[in-house]
Amino acid sequence: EVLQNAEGVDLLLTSAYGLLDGFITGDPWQGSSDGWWLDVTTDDAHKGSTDVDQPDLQRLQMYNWTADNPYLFTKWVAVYGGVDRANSVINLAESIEGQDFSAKIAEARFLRAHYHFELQRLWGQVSYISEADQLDPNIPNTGAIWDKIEEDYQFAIDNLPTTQPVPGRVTSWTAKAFLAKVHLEQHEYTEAIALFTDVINNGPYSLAAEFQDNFTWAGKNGSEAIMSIEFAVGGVANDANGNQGATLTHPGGGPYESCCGFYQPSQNLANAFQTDAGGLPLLDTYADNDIANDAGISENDPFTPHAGNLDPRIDYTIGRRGIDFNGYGMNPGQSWVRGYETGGPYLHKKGSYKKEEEDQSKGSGSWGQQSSGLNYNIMRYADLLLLAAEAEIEGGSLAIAEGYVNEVRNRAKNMTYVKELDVNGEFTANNAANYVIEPYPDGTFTAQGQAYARKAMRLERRLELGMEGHRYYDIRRYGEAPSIMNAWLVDEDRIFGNARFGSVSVSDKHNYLPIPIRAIDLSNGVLTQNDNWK
Amino acid sequence: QDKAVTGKVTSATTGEELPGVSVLVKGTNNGTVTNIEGNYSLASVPADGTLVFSFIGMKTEELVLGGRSVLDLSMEDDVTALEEVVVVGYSSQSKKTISSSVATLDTQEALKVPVSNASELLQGRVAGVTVVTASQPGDAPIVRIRGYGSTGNNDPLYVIDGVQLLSSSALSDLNVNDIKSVSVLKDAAAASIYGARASNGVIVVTTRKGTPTGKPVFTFDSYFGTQQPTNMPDMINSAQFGQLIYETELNDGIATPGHAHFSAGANPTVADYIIGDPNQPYDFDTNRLTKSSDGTDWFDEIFDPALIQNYYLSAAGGSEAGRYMMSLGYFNREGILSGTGLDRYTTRVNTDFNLSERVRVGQHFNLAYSEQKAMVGQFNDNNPISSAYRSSPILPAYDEGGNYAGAFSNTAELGNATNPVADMGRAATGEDKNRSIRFFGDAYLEIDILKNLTAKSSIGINYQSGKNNSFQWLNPEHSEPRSKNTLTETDYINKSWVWSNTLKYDLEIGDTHRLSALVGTEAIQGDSRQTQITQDDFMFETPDFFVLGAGTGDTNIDQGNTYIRGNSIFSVFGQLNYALAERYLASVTVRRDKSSRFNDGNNTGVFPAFSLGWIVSEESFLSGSSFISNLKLRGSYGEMGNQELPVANPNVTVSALNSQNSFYTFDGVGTDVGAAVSALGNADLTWETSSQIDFGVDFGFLNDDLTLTVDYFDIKTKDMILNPPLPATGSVATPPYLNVGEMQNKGLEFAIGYGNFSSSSDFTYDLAFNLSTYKNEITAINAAEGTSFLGASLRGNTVSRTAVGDPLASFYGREVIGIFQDAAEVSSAPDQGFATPDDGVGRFRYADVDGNNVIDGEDRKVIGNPHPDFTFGFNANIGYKNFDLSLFVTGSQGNEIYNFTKYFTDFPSFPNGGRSTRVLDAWSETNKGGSLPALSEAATASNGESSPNSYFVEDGSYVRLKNLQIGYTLPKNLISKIGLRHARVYVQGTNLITLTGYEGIDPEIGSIATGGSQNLNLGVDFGSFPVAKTYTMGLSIDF
Repeated sequence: EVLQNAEGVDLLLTSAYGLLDGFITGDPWQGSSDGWWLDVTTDDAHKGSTDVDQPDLQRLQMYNWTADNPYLFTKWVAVYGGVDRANSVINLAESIEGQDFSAKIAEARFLRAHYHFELQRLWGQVSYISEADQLDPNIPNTGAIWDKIEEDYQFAIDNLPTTQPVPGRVTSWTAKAFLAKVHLEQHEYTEAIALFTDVINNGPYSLAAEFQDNFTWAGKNGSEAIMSIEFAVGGVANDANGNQGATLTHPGGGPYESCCGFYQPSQNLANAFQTDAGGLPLLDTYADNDIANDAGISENDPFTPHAGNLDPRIDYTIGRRGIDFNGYGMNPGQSWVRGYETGGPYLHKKGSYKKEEEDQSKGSGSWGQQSSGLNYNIMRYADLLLLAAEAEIEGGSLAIAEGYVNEVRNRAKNMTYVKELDVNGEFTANNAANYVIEPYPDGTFTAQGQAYARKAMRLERRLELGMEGHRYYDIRRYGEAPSIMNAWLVDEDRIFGNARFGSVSVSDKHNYLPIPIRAIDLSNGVLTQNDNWK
Repeated sequence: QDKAVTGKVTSATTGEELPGVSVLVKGTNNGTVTNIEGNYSLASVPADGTLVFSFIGMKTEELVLGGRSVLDLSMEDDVTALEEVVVVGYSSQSKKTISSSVATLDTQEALKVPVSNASELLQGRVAGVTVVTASQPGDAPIVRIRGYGSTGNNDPLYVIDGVQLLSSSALSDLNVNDIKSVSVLKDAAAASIYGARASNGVIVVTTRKGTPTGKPVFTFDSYFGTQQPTNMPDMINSAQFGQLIYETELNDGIATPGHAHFSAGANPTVADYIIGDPNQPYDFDTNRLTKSSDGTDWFDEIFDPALIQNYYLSAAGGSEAGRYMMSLGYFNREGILSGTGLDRYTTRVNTDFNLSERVRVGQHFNLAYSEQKAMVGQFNDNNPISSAYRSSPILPAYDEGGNYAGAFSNTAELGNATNPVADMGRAATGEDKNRSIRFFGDAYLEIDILKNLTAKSSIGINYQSGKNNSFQWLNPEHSEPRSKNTLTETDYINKSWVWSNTLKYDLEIGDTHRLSALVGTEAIQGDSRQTQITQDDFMFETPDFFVLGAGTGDTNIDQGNTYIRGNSIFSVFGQLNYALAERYLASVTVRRDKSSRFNDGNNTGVFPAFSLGWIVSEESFLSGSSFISNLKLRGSYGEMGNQELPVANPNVTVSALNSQNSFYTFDGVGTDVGAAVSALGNADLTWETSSQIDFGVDFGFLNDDLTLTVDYFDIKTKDMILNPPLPATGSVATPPYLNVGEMQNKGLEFAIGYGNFSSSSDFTYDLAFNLSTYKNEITAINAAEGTSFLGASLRGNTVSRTAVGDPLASFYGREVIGIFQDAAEVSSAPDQGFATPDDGVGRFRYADVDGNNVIDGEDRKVIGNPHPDFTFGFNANIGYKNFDLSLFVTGSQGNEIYNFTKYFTDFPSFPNGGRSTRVLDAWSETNKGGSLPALSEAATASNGESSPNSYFVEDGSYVRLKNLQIGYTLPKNLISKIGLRHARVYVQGTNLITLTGYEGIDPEIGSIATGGSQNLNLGVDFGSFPVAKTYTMGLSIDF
């Protein structure tokens, strides 16, 4: 066996990282690990395009969830494929005598934990596949596997180095950050706080000066990146190291000349960026009034972008008419949107490449798709700060939580804002909109109490992390997916002018996805449907 | 003393002169052959000498000269079919005393039909053989003998003059005009001499040889004609399309239904221009002005009449000492799908030499070069036929500037199918071709060691190399245009050699015991190499630049399609045939194979078989009966193996460096090489073994004017090989090949023939009918491997399932039992998940299979069977004087087709795509009897109506007038004046009439997959290439 050596371990380990993007079989977007299609089922985003384009995703968006939906099977197979590759590394490393591979095994166990964590959050009752099960992985899914996930992360913490020669490899700090998140997910706040605090106080991470650096090619692997899916274009056929899973999410019309116009921000998300005169978000009232949008307004008719106060992060997150789109000039409205009547008027900006970086980050494929070379931040430091804030609010100190939230808000305040375009398409010195943002005044959280702090922290996550694939998990971790979604579904009908979502109903069973029926079929009944979907 | 002798040889039956008759002075090498007038002359013959006259198909005669100097002979036909010699494995045998099930093809009849692949000749003509024609020129048909014996490879073994070939594609490199005979070894007793390669049956082809004619006999054969597309689907026009969108949106609760290209309101009309500004002039870059169409018939756009032509010239002849047959052929068949086609050049040289009385050598050599222009994306549901189903009727094929039209943007509401005219047009311009050069043949040495003991050694070679290139153009008109163009080139070499040595001994003891024994050894070795390279970003889209190196982008090697493979087999075998008193027959065969495909312990197998026969008509109580001229009972049992797999080493796990899914980038800039398990091995794998019982009876009545053959067979396959999908909680590598279970095929075969063979008359007729059945069932699946295997996934839909108790590749899904007519019906039915009963009105109603009152995944069942109840063929030849007429009908009954094209055309699966006229019968309050659910995008998706269900399953039975030919043989006295021996002209029509209830283009559906999974995906139509109606005129002359 030619792989029976250290080089072989490295080669297998690389391929175990290679499945972070979730693409191994089937349509790449179905396995996508950047959470975009999960976001489509939340109040942050619409599927986009037309209803019968990717009808299986339409069924997910409309909460018509069934076990035969191919998105679920493709995702399931890809994540378990990642587990299998991690197990390959462990089995090979353990079979080679006389060498210490514990650091490599720790990387593999980190990845195995990472994949199982994803499975656990999505399906609730899943099988844990260890290296010993690799040859016979048909294991029953009897319940939650949190303990096993924690064991793997703990092994990684104990055996990984604190730094790595390349940014894509995980370190003991990465493992601590994720173990903290695993505890938070289980509402184990004390354990979570200890780990978050360690990472914040002693770890190597800090916020980038520019918010936008998290979404550019040049800014990849900056100080804020805790763990990213590393993407690159070129080098291999069909730009297979690019983000194939997100290929549907670029604008369907306009300068991208691309497929496919999916993943459009919602009106509700846009509304959330409204701020008051003090630069604070409208915690309770942002959904009451829509910011100006061009729904139903022809490109030939005049339109004035929203004049009220806005958080400046909106224009790095949401593509809207009248504002520059990632350096491609003024977004003209309808002609850049593929499914105007079904997806609303907004475009996705963060994951779409930037005009000045086309050469480095615009990839292609075998048909009309474009795979971007921008990294996807699985976890970045702002995300971690807000998770830490959540743990503090639920089980620690409101004052510390406020500090974390304000750290995030201050970066947004102090960053460079999107500028206005003149008639020639050149940027002027003026801001593109009326941006007003301030941190919460000292002591607000303590003064207003836990419920206020919770609300502020949760809204801050939307503003900071909107369209980054976290919302699906967040609202389930909060335990409020049905109430948030049912309220939003009615609310969002406003921009469509018909009862598009009004009859959709979300319940607690939607906290987990149904286990794919094909997976159950292939297991000969060893796998059983999770309780929510029996 | 010696003297000169002359004479004339004629046929006793026809009175015509016989050219080419061998005339030999017995016991010497002194001989000659008759000339074109049947005359011969020999210089010095002893006065008491004996002349031996021999000619193929005639009884050999020995005449004592007795002092005469002129010796004429009227030769008698060596008539009855029963004395025909049948070519079987490694030898030939008298048809009369054969006790196994071997069928021969009437090549004279079969060769009348214009085919591009010799195995198509078998369709409907040989009981027990099922053929699904590949309609795309250059593709290989699916040939199955006695059903499906394997979940893996089901291709029969082809033996061409001793060279073993494992794919019917090899037969496309054989010129059908070179074929002399085709035998099909069906039962174990006949086939098991090929051991581990025999279980799917064996087709033995021999090619023409020269006969000692002295002067060469030239044959020229040619036909040409035209092929027409038929039976194109009915698609809706633009006005109907506008109405459809309006009603769909109305049903979906959209307050103001509308479409970018239609007027608002209840009777939408299409705008004049759909792309560009009509007030500005056409401009390729900025204003590609495109008019709307009243309803583009995309099938009409891509299907056109096509040419077919064939030219064949051969020369055959020689003397007693050496004979030759040489041929040249050119075959050209354009496909009715424009842009497709096949060009093939073939040449063959067969020679035989008698080095001495006891030593013979010879060779066969076949060289073929072919160029195939294939459909773009054939095994992909984006192929041009699928795109034709999916394309919008309002979009024309070309814009106002004569360029390919398209939606340009996916915001344009013009659908997202590629323009199929553009796809095929660009492929033609880019000269996408599959080129292959192949030679195969053998050389042999045969020595009569003793009078009855013959040793033969032959070495055969099969070599094929090829280059396939395809260029993916930019398609700026497409709604989802490509951002780069790519050239793909594939080079390959496949070669194999076979070395066979046999020793044959014949013994007759008195008149009662006849024994023949054969022993042999054989070594086979084969290997393949292939490289596939892609290159991106060509600045100029002109075919001159379509070479690797001319692109400016990445050059990549496709690891999945680049490989080296090899395998070998070593075998010993023996056969003993015994006949007692010419009526009690017995035969025993055994072969031992050792294969490189499996590990020690699993790689050696012994495959025995025996047969018994009783020629009842030779018994005294029947002999001399004028009514029953032949009656033979036969029975056989034997075992055969199947070791064919699409991989060379299924026993080892393979890890691969695969840039598409095992590489990563650790810094987000470069590329880091990674390796992952790409295919899992199974060290315990062994070959499939099938055991077969066959009972047969051969009848001949009225001097064999009426013949009947009936066979019953029962084949049990164990250890069948499959690589079923792994549990979804494991590796994503190619699953290991496993011996997964057992399968059974039982069936009956009938062949009836009737003709006035025994009388001589100006009016001749010959009728033949055959019918074959097989019933396939999976009888066991090993518990560890699960209870069922799923077929391929088509746009997320898995329609085929193979499970215990069902036939291979049964269709599986929900059963539609109607459409809900009102809310009350929805309320009382099992829960289908409708939010309110009103939501269910007009929707498909499904059967509650598990009876739990909820419709879910458990309510899927077997909804169709792709296997026919029976297939049949009927052939009639009628001749009157110089005129002849032949008619051939073939068909299939009882097979079902999963018409996946309905996914495109009957449901709103693709926005703004074309639709079948069937949607005009959608359910509505005013059309309660509608056959389709109410028009709705939202409800179709939520009720799973385009997921696998019985609406898609159709009866695929058909009866096809495959061929009708009328010929005229020119009178001999007329043509002999211009030096011709024989001349015949004919006109014919092929596939003239097809009777079928199937609604797709054509009921002959192959598989949607190639290779290993071919057999798990039968009878699914996602846009298959239809057969053409063909009219040809032909000419055949000998001179």
